[in-house]
Amino acid sequence: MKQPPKYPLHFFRWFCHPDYVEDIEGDLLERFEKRTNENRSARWLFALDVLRLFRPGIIQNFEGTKKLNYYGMFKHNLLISLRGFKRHKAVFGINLIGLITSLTCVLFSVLWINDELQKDRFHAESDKLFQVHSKFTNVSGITVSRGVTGLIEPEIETQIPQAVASAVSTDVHEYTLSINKKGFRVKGRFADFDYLKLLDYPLLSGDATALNEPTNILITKSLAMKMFGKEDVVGETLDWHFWSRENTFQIAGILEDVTSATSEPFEFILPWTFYHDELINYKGWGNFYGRVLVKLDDLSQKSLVEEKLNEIFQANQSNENVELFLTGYSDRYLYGKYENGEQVGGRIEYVKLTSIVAAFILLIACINFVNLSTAFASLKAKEIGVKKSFGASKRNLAFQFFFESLLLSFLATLAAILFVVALMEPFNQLTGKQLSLLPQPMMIVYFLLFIPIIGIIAGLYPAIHLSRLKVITALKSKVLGSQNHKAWGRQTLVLIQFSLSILLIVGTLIVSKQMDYALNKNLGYDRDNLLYFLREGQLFENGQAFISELESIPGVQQVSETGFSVSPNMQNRTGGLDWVGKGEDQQVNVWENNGDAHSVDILGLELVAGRTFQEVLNNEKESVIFNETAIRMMGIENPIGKTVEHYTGKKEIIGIVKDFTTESLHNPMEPAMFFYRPERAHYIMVKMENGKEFETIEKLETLYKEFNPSYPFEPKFVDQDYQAMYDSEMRMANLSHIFSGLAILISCLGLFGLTIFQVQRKVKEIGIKKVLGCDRWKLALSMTYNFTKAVFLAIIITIPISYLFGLRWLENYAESVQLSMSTFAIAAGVALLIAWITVGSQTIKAANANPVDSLKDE
Amino acid sequence: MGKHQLGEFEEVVMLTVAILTDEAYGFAIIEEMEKRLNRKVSIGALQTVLRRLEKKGYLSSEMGEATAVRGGKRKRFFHLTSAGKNVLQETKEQRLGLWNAVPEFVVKFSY
Repeated sequence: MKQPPKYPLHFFRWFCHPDYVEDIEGDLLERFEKRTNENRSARWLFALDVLRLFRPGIIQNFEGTKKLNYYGMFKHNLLISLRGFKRHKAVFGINLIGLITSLTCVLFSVLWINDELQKDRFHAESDKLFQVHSKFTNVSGITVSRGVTGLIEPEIETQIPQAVASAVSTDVHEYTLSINKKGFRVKGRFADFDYLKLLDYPLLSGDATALNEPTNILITKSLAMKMFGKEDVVGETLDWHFWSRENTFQIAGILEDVTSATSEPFEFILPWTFYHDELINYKGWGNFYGRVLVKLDDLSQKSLVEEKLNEIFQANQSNENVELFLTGYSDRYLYGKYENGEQVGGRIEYVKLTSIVAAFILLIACINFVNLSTAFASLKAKEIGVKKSFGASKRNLAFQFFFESLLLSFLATLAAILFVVALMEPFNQLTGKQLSLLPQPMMIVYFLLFIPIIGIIAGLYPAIHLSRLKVITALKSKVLGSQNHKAWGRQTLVLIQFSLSILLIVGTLIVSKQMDYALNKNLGYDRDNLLYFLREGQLFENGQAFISELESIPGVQQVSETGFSVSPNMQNRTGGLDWVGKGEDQQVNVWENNGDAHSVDILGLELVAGRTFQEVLNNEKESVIFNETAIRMMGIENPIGKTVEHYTGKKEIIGIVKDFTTESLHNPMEPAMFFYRPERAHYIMVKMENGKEFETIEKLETLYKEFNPSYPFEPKFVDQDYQAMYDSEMRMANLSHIFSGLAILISCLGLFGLTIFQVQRKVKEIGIKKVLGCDRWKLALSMTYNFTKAVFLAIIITIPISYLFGLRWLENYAESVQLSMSTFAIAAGVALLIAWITVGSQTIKAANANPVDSLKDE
Repeated sequence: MGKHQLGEFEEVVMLTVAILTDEAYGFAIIEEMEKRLNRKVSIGALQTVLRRLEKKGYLSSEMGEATAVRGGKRKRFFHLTSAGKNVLQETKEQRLGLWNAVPEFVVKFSY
């Protein structure tokens, strides 16, 4: 017998539905045989027949073949999961809401943390860049500053070959720039040409070498738009004002806008040569007016470079109290805090804290999932039993539970991403950032990674636990296992949840207490209604006229020319002080204020001894007023009338004031002194009458515009400045409020779900107890007993932990609130109360139910 | 049953299955149709229709015994179900009804 063509037959067998393959193949062969007998072109016709069989009805389905059989299971699991969601709507809802809320928190935290970690790291060579720091040791301790003398930078270039490049600049300050007498208050810095070579602030047009000329200026694109209304402004000129100075600069280049990835944003750069030649009167090695950046190609040579830096410094000014050292340039933002000369973190603490809190919240939501799915597993026992007896392996069952948690985490992640997009605006307001998802598609990809992570974390325990059930027990008993055994695991998880929640509540309470304390504390000076503005332009030339006009405004209580500012950037400190009996190592770094006769009174400082400045006296310029700490540190007895040697000359001590906080409460009280040098005062400060601030400021502005039309009037309040110093803390406090509130909410959702479950299971028991005459309150109490126990245990466990954490955090402050028992009592009470309300609402409902309803159906 | 209209090919296939009674398997149906109706029928077209009719419940099928011929492959025998018989009957009555409604002369002319 002739054989039919091989390939068409193979093809047919491959595509044909397995149910049909046998009989159709038979038909094909029979026809083929018949055609061969008739001697027709049978082989071709056979192939043609096969081809015509290749149609939808005959081709096998994609499901049902051996290889793709998982598809069937997949579909089955999906169906079972969806049905489960539908049947247990409350559980599904609780899980979903919990996961969405926590994921939204986590995603926001990830965005925030990512943004923090990226600060100052966008420069291509940022890991090779180092900032020169100086460390002073004196009797008041060790202080660290970024300031060094500007004279060291040329020395580095010639004497330290290991430092392949170096740059010098200043910190960012606010100045007034003007064109045609129209002024703008803008932040900018001085820097040399190398600064732009080391850091990636690209120029859109013009040339960075322009910074070698003292008459050039580089401005950003947006500043050009703001001032000139166009971008192409190279070659135009503008005026720069500082204090009594006014200079004209030519725009030599346009910078790309400095993004929020820079910790100290600025809008223009002026040449360092101008700063050095024109603005620094005392160009000595003891004047730390520069910020120096070095680049190392070989990081192992860091200590060698440090050694050489100190050699150069000591060779020029022998001073045992000063030591120079290097820290990574990008560390300035996150690790910018120094204690006793050691780097001790900084904002990185917040980053860590946020990560921990986000992890807590995620954990709480996952615990909900685990708790609820194991609790409701008893309802699934039959299903598991039947599946097992049909031969489902542990792996199959585990896969089913994983599938369910994956599905849930998939839904939750998608929803959370939507929430993040929708809530971006309020979140940015809360944190003071400009975060956005859209320019970071990679972020979304990372977020999607949460799907498997959450799915596996949440599904692991149910998957392992439930797939291990024994067939017989699963099928036989309606209620799974002994209740105590299972409840123990769940109680532990509830315990963990509540421990975490209480921890967060205590944390929030401590943070907000400290914030309250810091913001309302008596600082030693009266900062209310105290307003100041820069002394610029005409305020110098016609200063006296302006001040007498000011004083005549009703609502103005006092006016003073002073240098007082709470901003650390604007404060002066000096170590150049000598006195009789000064010890060898007794150098004191004193906060210095230059002002007029009212500069002490206007702050409301309390005089302990002596007097304040008096304008009428001629020799007031040779007077000084100290605070108590300064006198104590210098160790001068009976100080009034004694003299000290300042670098500007001999000064007689005429008064002593009580200590006051010069910066924020992070710092200890420091020595301070006041000089009568009105011509050196940076600001004009006004004390206003309480309740009349608005009209007073309006009148101030009119007067200011009259005197100084080309300068913007931007007054600042001392108390607002003070508050601004706690800005990052306030933002963190707000964030932690929200986060701990959500954590509590999610834990309670879980507790709520568990209660629903317990009540459902105990419906009959409650019914019988009621019939037998049990009091409904006793019933409710017996139901809440277990949870209460868990919450109490959580409280006992958490309080010592949170106490330690709280102490550690408060160590950041020189002055802090005491940790009181009431804080912990409040936290514990809140947790207990919320737990009771959650559980109680359900149990009371159950206890109130008519036993007839619960007992009749069987 | 009124909703289920049989297609022409479907009707012919079902009728052929009815004619062949116990011997209605794929190839036999094709032979019978080619012989009686003088038209070419591909296995593909026939098999699709058979499966479709089976799914609709008009036909049922069972596998026969293995034989030495046709490569030892078993045959699949098709039978009319009662639903199938009903639908055939209905179709026939509809056709007859239509035929009866046609005036005689029209048909004569058209031949």
